[in-house]
Amino acid sequence: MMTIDPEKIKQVLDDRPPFFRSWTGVYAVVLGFLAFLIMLFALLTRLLT
Amino acid sequence: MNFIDLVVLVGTLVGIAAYGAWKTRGNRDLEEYFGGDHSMKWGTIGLSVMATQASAVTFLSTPGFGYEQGMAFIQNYLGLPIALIIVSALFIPVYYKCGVYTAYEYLERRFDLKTRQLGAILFLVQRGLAAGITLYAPAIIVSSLLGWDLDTTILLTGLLVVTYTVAGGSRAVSLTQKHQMTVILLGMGMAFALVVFYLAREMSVAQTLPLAGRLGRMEIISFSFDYSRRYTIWSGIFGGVFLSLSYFGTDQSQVGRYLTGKSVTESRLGLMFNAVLKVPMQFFILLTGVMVFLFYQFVQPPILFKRPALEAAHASARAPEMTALEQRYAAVFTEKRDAVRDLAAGLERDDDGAVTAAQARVAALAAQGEGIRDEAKKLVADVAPGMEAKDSDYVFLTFVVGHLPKGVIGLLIAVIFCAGMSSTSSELNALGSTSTVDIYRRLIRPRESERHYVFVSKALTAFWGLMAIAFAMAATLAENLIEAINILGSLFYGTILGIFLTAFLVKWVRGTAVFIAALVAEATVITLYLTTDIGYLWYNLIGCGLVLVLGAALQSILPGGRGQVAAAAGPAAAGGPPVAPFAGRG
Repeated sequence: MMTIDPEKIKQVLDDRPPFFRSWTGVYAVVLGFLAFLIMLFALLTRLLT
Repeated sequence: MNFIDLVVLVGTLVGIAAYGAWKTRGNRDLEEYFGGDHSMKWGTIGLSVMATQASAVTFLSTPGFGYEQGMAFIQNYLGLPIALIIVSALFIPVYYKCGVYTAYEYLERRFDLKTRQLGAILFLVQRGLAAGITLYAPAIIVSSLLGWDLDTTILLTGLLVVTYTVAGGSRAVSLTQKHQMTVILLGMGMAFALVVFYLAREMSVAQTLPLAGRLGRMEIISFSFDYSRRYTIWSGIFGGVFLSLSYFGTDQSQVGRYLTGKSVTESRLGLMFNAVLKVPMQFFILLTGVMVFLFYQFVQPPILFKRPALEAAHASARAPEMTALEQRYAAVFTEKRDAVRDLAAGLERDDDGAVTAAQARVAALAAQGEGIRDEAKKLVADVAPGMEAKDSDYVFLTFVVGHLPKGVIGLLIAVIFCAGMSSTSSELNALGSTSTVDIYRRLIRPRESERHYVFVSKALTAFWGLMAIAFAMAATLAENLIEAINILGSLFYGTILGIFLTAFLVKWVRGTAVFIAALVAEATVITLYLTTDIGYLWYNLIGCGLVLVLGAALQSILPGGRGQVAAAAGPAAAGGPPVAPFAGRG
């Protein structure tokens, strides 16, 4: 029988990133960076081709 | 290859392998052997995840892709950051809560034993084949360009990677990958800097990108809706999300990497490290290929980069024909070089008329050159069947061996082997853990000591290593290598991902429904691959979508139906505490 260690659940629930306060903030920054890269690539494609 | 290069190459490869094996010797239990004692910090995890994905093919095929087709391949990676966010938010908490060694353990907990076995077997088949390709890819190219014996090259690198992976387990894999990735980044940075430095003899650095654009290599993003076009932003984001989600969320060679984390935070940060750096890294690898393309506009390339093909033609009765083709190719190249210089000068002066005229001349001469290359390939196909395979995989290393300084050549060849060894070690570790935990311990010998399981794990890891070596020695791959790996993955990943997404998101679907749906989806994907020309990234979406939709539909008509299952499933179906017997870890 597999059991879930309550400590592990607590560890997951208590998990906070060391910056940007929450993981949602970290993900928003990563998505923002991706959007920036796509715009940069689109701009380069437009300028260079 | 001279003595300095050899010292750099052997010193790097053996040094890192020996350090990894020595530092991680003496594993006591499976927790330490496969879980790395959960001691890794985010930097090590990030580099380890990156090194696992970036095989030798990445550093051979990707610049070749840039050389031949330009930057469009970068679109394949645009879905990756989104997928990593989903894995971080959805998959990691579940794996941590369940305390699993392998992703497939979770499937039994959520569904049933047969679904776990199906997931594990699909992984073992796909990854078992891919491990052979990751060993074969660097060996075939390096050995043919340097005149080494292919089988000996595969055997030596294969045995080196098997030795430290078997000896040190997961921690050895992570530690060696950290150092291998450092060597890779250093080597690729050096190659990029040197090719730009060489180009500076012909033009200013600022001119390189506009010239590459005029020569058709800078279409980075395409918004085309043509479904048969392999690389568009749509296939990259949608297909790419599914491919990456399946790879990072359900492929044990990746799951095993980030589950070595000291905490959930370390694992998540390791993935975010990749979400930020992977696209720029791939961009620079492709750009290196584009720069090599520009370099070969001013320095004559061989008519074929695949040297053994050329040598086979020269050794045949039709050698004079090949010599004549080479002379014609050289004459066209000289003319084209002058046209490219005119084009660069026109761009410098901002003279639209001169640019348009020179561009038309370059295009016509490039087409003429390609025509002669096609004739050469045809000749090779006639005199040495099987040798005519596309030679873009050989472009980067031909440049390295022919034009970089002593010592740097050794470092760049070490980069290729480091990349091959780092991804192979993860694959072997994952194959070992899946066959031990999901097959051996679950089905064959469930109640043995930890010492026994560590011994079996080592034996099975060694078995998969020897299988990969044998497969690599028997392999002959005609297609572009990076595509071969991606196509192989795409055939299986969609189905596996569909099973996992059903587990996470459609709580009322149970084991039998998802199992049948997965079999139907896999059969459909393979049929589509054999009978249509749909871009392969879409298989990930199709396979995954079919499992989700069919699983839900089947659950609705199976005895019990949706309503009863949802009511009866209780907390287990909702991802809560377990209610079913489970012979996995814990």
